[in-house]
Amino acid sequence: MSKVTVRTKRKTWAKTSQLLESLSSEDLARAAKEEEIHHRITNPAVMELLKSLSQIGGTTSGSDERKSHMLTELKSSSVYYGFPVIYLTINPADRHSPLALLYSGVKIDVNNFMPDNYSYTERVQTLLQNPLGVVEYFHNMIRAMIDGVLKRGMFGELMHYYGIIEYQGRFTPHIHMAVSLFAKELNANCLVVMA
Amino acid sequence: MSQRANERYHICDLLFSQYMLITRLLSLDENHQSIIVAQKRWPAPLSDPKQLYRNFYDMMQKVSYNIVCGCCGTIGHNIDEFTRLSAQNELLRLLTVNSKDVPFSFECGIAALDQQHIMIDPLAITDYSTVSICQRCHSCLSDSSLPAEALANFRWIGPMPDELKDLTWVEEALIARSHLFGRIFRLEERKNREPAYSSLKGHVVLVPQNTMRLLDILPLSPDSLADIAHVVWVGKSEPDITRMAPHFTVRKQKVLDSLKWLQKHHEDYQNVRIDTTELDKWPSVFITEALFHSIAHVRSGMMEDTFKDGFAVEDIDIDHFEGNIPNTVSAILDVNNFSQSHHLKILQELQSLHQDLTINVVPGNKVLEHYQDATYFTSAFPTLFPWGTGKHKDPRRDKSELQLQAWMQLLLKHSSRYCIFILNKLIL
Repeated sequence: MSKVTVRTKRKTWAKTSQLLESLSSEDLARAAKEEEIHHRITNPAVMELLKSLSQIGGTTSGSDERKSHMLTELKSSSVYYGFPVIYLTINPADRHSPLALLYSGVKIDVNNFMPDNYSYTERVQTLLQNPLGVVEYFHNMIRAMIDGVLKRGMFGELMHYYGIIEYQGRFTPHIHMAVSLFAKELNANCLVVMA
Repeated sequence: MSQRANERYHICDLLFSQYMLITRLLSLDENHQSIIVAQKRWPAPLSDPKQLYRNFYDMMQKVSYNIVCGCCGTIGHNIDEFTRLSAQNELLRLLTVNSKDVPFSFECGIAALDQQHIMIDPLAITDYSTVSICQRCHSCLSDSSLPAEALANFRWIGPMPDELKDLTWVEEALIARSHLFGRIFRLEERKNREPAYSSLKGHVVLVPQNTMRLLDILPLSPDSLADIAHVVWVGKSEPDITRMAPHFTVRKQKVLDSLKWLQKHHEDYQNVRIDTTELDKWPSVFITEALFHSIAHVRSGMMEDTFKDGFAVEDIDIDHFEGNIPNTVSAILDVNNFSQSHHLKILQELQSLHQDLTINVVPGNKVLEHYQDATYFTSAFPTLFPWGTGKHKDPRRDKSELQLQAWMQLLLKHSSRYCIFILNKLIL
């Protein structure tokens, strides 16, 4: 809600509104056809419309604009750091973790956890009541993996990683990471050659 | 003269390019050498896996706690972020509040603190004499200033009374003084009984509702619920009224009791009048039919990415309409489609909008805004703020103002989260 911008107050709005008013659904259909065969959209009004829509979408996380922005980030990071060599997916199992259960408010001893004392259904119901606990568990787990394992040289010297969190069908988070590993000298030189 | 200058320029240029060429060649040579070295070294020896596991284990050990900060009442997990203070510690005196301001008892059980009216979160007490305090609050207290996040900074919320416990969501909607957002309620038929987090995929666009002022006469008529909530049923079969009844049940006595309690204790409910004629019309227990009949039906959960049944449009798009159009529209737009070019998708979406759907957003200039109204949240969620205290804005917080975002984050981490959990567990 804090990101609301009033586009109609812009200086260029008078011009833009004229363009937008001239649009008909046939224009849109024609533009869609052009886009489908990967041609340039010829109608300036349609372009203007798309431009303002993408400006709005750019700030909304999860939108297509945001995703294409992240893709560009990933591309430029592979130009800068070299190509990623490892594609890593970490999917912490919230249902089988004593930690997630602890974060959800169950008083358990994490180090001597007896899974048999808590039935599967009971555990899952507890987690469903506490989505924030699961998110915190995921966050701490991934932090520990990146800081304690990846950065300490699990695959060799870490140059760069780029990760995106996704939510699967059950709406638990998991992370995909592209990891770039290079010896420092090699990488620095890649930069010079590219420049 | 100019010719000479030109020549000189050419010589300079030549020298410069020669110099550049030499240095460039040198640096390329150097690069080449180091690449060869790096290549020989590759693959670099891997770290000791045992050490890596130890790192990971240590880090996870550090975060395997539930610690409540006594000052700001939030839950933390990292033991490094907390310090323990003795109950006699002078720093805690900063958390003294005027007990006349607090409508409920906030005794924590430690006599030394209770005598001085020091407000801490009782869950933060360990060993009956020490209180855990998070680093942020501790450093603030050490500077002898009251942290903005502190509960004592007019952020107390208070215990939930029995009258308000286990209200269904429909009952809560009936007694709320304002309805800030349209609510989308999704019921799903699941074959494999695999539990999932309650969620909606795609983006939910929240359109401000036409709450121009707070309601003074409560409860709301159950017929008007269809304006503030939309129910989506996902499943192949028709929704079964007997199975879904628990979600739509209203108990008259419960609503009356909670309203009476709120009227007596909630800050924002002082001027509310209980509408007895409305209540007399209600049977003692009933199912909200109006809402039940407005259920949108989605055949298959697999198609949820593209469903648009959440669109609800008031049939008010007529030319002769004068004045403000009442705005009670909520909409779901899906943006999760990767296979197509997103421009193409937007264009197609726009076309479909163009044909038969129009969303009117004419909120007028009297819509409730959170930055104008201190009772914005407390009057809309009476079960979360049973005493109406702990507002996002409070003029008494003159020294340390809280930003809206910080206020919300504090609420999300509030220690009462687990109390709600216990409550839910009892119902289940």
